[in-house]
Amino acid sequence: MITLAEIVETKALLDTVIYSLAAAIGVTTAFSLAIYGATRAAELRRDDRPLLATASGILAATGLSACVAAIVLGVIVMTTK
Amino acid sequence: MDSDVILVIVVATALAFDFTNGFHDTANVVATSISTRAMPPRAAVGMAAILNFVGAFISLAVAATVAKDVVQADAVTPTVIFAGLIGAIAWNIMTWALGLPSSSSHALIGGVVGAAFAASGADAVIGEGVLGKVLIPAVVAPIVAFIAGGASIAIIYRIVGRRSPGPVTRGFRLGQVASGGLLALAHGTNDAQKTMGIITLALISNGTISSDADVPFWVVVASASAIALGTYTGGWRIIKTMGTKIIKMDTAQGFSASGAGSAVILASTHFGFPLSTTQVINGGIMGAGAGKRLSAVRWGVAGNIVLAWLLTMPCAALIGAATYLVTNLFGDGAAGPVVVSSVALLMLATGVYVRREQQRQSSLVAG
Repeated sequence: MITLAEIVETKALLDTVIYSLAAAIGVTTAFSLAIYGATRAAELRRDDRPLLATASGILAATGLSACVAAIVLGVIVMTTK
Repeated sequence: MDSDVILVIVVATALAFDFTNGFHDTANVVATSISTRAMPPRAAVGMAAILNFVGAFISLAVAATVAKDVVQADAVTPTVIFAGLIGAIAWNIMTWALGLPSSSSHALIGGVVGAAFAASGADAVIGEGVLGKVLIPAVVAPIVAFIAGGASIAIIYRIVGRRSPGPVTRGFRLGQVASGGLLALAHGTNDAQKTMGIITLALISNGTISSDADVPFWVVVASASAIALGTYTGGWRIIKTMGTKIIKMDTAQGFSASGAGSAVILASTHFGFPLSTTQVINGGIMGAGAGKRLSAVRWGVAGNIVLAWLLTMPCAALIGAATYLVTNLFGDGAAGPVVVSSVALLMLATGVYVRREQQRQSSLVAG
């Protein structure tokens, strides 16, 4: 009698679920922070608050870099399998 | 000589299936970008075609699953594969005509399973492989995409919900160009490989290559080209269903849906699960709608799509089995595939002609 656990590659399936959720939610969060940072930086610059504007700009750049890094990492993982 | 003729017909039919796959699944890749106006339709479809082509070269894990884990190698003959492909193409064309985004992958696997069953009985089907590598991932993947799409949109609204809508919309529009591109790449990696797997299976069953051989490079190039061409030709009916009928999307929802879809497809491809890109991106779209509010999803349309998903494998299997039985009436030679493919082409041409006539007459009445 074969059990379902023997048929299904449980570890591979679980890894797929975890990596998918982590990648989707991680990239979305990073990109949202990038947009938040960019829009906030523009507002603060208009209000003549250069220090906070720079900090928001750094947040935007970090968020965008994280997105690009995640995509590049994903493609590298795919191609090196 | 006969077996070579059958092999040529099988390869041509497989590439025709790959074309219909690209044609049918263009919507998966571009619907969100077009409906939120992140990209003009032609540019979105063109980018999707190029990235589908590139994606086909990235990985071969799915091709190996389709070639080795679904039906017993000794039960597979070129005629079985031919009948399976006809089952898949017929189902793809029927669902395209109805504007339903069903799964080309499940149609292909269903068609081959049905034809193998008709040829050699239940023993020909690797039940564990179909269940463990196809059916269970098919259920899990859209649910994961739904959760990922819903969680993503909730996070987006939490972070940028109080920002000025103009710059936020522009930002997500740019993000959608990237996430839509990634989705096209993911689609190419998963879907083009199914055709590669089928052609490889046909070459093995014909004795052209050994059973432990790698996928030949010309098979990769031909499959990538066929899916890219199909994608560029496009299927506007399904784009309309996916882009506007399931939910009315804003750019943030489009970004969430295509981001969730890409993540699930790329991860599944990495582990060799031949899932349905259609199901996954629909799961992402519904999740992105439900994450905003449950009533944003048109559940009636979603229900029709789920029904089409449920029917895909059994219907393609039935058509595949029936095609095998008809083909087999003409014996083991090339006559069966030649007659059946000629009749199929004739039926397709008649269908296209009738459809054009109906469109012409309705435009005359409207005018």
